[in-house]
Amino acid sequence: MERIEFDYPATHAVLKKAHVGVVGSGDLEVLLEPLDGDSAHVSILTSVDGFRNTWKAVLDRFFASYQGAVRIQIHDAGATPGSVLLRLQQAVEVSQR
Amino acid sequence: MFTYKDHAVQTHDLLKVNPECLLDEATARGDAVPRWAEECVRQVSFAVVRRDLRRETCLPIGIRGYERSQRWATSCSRQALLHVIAPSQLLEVSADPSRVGEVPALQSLQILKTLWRDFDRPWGPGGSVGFELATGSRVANAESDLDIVIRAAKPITIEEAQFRCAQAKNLPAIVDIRVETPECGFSMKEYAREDRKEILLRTPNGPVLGSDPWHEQADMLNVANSFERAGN
Repeated sequence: MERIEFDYPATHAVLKKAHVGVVGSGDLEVLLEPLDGDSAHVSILTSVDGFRNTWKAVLDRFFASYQGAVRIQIHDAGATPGSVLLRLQQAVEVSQR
Repeated sequence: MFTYKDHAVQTHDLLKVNPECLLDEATARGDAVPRWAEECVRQVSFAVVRRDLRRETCLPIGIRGYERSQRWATSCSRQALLHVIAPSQLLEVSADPSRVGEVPALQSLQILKTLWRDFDRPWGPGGSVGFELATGSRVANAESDLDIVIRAAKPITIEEAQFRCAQAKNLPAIVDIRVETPECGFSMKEYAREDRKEILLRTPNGPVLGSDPWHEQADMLNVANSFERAGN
């Protein structure tokens, strides 16, 4: 188990929270909630140690096109970067519904 | 489709392999073989079929290492393949009683076998429990989840999924149920949710969001297969 945290700048407020995904082999759960202020905070709890750089690359890519002020909690059970990005996009979509 | 003794080999099947043949093939392709992977292949000689685009002549496989982060993705030709075990065949294998006492996931499988006696779809253990039952190698531990694979050629209704998920709840270990259709794999728990719209579908081309695991992907897969054919 490893906990990893990142912060990103944000430019707009988010109104709704979203909860997507499942904690199962090769998958992850994402909880996205509105956060006051002009930043986004990501907290990851992963069952697979030693992939901090990969997480940073995936989140850098996600936050390059998303500027919501949110707190994102990720509970990961060994998902691939492709699944992580898909779940993050799904969470954003649900929060905008 | 890759068939072996007239059966289609599917994602999650376990393969007994010839280690020297497998390692020689990897070296001949110029693949880097991690030291731990070489050791594990020689010691256990079993691999898991991965989800990936298929060819007639070789299968995408994964080799388990000592750690959760050690997984070696490689491929296996017909020459290196000795035997195929589907998850459903592992229901016939009895676990060592002392291991059932130590590993809640093994105990959960025994309970589930009774609860699902009437379940008429092919199902069985995957993950560490499946690997341990197939190989005798003690890879499951007190924290292991019980991974279950259900092969569903025909659609499962939401009600059926909810019923099977409810039966698998409150067992000694967490039960993680993966459904495999001819097109893709998905989490039964996510499929069974009341509020769901789209779920994550694992296809040979990677994960996508969709709502019908039995049909939605057909067109996309046909496109991908025609690309693969054109590339060959």
